[in-house]
Amino acid sequence: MLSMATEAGLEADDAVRRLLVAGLPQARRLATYMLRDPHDAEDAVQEAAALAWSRRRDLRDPQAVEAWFSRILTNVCRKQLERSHKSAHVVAPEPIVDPNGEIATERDELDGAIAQLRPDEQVVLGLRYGRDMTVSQIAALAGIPEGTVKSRLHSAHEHLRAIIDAGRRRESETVR
Amino acid sequence: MKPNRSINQEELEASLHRYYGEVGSRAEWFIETRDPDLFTSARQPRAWRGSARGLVALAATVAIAAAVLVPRFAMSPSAPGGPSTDSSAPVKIAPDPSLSEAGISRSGELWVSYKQKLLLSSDGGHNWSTVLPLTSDAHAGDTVTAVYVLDSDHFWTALAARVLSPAATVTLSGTANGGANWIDTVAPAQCEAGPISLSFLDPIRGFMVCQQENANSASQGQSLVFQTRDGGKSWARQGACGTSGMLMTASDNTTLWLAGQPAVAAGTYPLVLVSHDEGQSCSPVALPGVDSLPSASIVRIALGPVFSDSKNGRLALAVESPMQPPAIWFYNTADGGATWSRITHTTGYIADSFSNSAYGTRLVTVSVRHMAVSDDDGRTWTEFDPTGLPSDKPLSWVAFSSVGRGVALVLEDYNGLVLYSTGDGGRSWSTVDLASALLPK
Repeated sequence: MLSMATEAGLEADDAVRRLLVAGLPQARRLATYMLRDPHDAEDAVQEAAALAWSRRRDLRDPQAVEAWFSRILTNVCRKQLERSHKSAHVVAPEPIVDPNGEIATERDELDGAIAQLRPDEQVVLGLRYGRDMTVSQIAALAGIPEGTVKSRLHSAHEHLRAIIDAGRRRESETVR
Repeated sequence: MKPNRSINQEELEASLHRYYGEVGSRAEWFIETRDPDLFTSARQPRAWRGSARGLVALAATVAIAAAVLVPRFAMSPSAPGGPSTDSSAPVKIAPDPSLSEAGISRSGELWVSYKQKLLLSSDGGHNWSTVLPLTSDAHAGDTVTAVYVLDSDHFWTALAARVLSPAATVTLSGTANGGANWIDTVAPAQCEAGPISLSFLDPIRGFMVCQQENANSASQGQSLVFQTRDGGKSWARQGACGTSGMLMTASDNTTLWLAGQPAVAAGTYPLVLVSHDEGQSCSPVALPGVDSLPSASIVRIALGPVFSDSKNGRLALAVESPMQPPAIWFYNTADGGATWSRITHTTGYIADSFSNSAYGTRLVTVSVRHMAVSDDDGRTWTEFDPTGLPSDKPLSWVAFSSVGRGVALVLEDYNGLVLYSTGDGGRSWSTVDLASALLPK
């Protein structure tokens, strides 16, 4: 016979599992906005789900599973970005050229520029523009002070502008 | 063809909205066409990936399948007899999202906000023997979003009822007897979404700055200034201070300082704003050297401004400028901010994080692997590599209450912060177990 504590734990497990499964589509969207690639996002969701499951007993309130899992997922996405992040100095990036040799479109320009940002900056951009989250919401999700979110959002903007401007200047010189 | 000119903030934000809109479309397409739920079917790793991450994905799938699909009785908590713990190993403290704020009170004590308690230390972070409630019982479930500590009797908080809801209700609470009794007021409607900063001169007079969220833009909205003359029972709107940042301090009854955007490209936004009329109007502070920086420079507010009295203040900028090694520019004023003198400290490395608060006699600059301290207002510096701090994690805050003793908050990961303390001026650090401070004595 299971002890009452164990039984309560199993009920909580069930609740966590149900809520995790129900939240998977949302999690995939969230991860895609942070990683900008649905396949990478799928990897992240799987990794986060495994991690969440292993830590499920740390969750005191099963009703808070969505926020809890989102935070784990955000962390996994950030680490995934760190793994793939190549050190970049923001001032003079290479111009972004598509396979046909033509100058890339706005999307490609941004894609390349965002990839050069620090992982933390990429995460807040995805949450802000992809999920339309406010600074407060991002802070709550990521578990960091609002001032840090604002700082990262602003530095992301400034770095993006510097990267894009440098790319355009270089492109202009190339055309000449 | 891309335009051959600089991209402005408005264009950038519009581009980002379009870009992430496309990302969202790709997500929806993928979700609609993807394999069935990973929780109910172990899927094959994508052959085209063939990378280590593919293995991670497979391992994760297996782990989930094992955890979720096996009989329930296998899911009980770990039995005793797991990995043993080496008692001589350094104490590992888990990051905690409830450890959200830290500071130095006007009376000189270090404080942290932790699990809705205010923990105070009068010995530089070695002991945290004073534990006070940070909310009234009525707001026990709220999230603490801002704290200002005048002393162990007088402190104020901003509390968000539902931080994940756009319609969050924000309460401003104040106590004059160490948290035994609280006066709660609902924050002005303009302050419901944006961050809040508090600063009090004494138990009666204080200021609040809140930033309006701009629903149509990621750029920060107006910083609105409010004042209280009754200890926080009521707040009167004073004025707006542009789109500045939120670090704010009042140096006297009428003078308010706002640190600008935490990181700006030189020349884009004012770095520091000052109001001499209780927040009714603000003007940029002229800091020597800033105007001559190349436009590609990135400037961050590394410190303050902080004032030890109405006349003496300091602030610091971290400057990354093309063709120049990275540097910290320290500014001092002895005339209430009318003039600022600059001392340049060339770090030689791009600092990833900075102390956001340095008080007393010791100035500190920090990157993930380096620490530099000055005990003479920035004239001379001692640089060393601290031990005990994680080498790959940013310090979000560091402060010394004396030359030897200090504390640092380290952003371990997105799960939260960990507090470290030092007793030897910052050369060696160890984690602080705040949870034990909350145990019944």
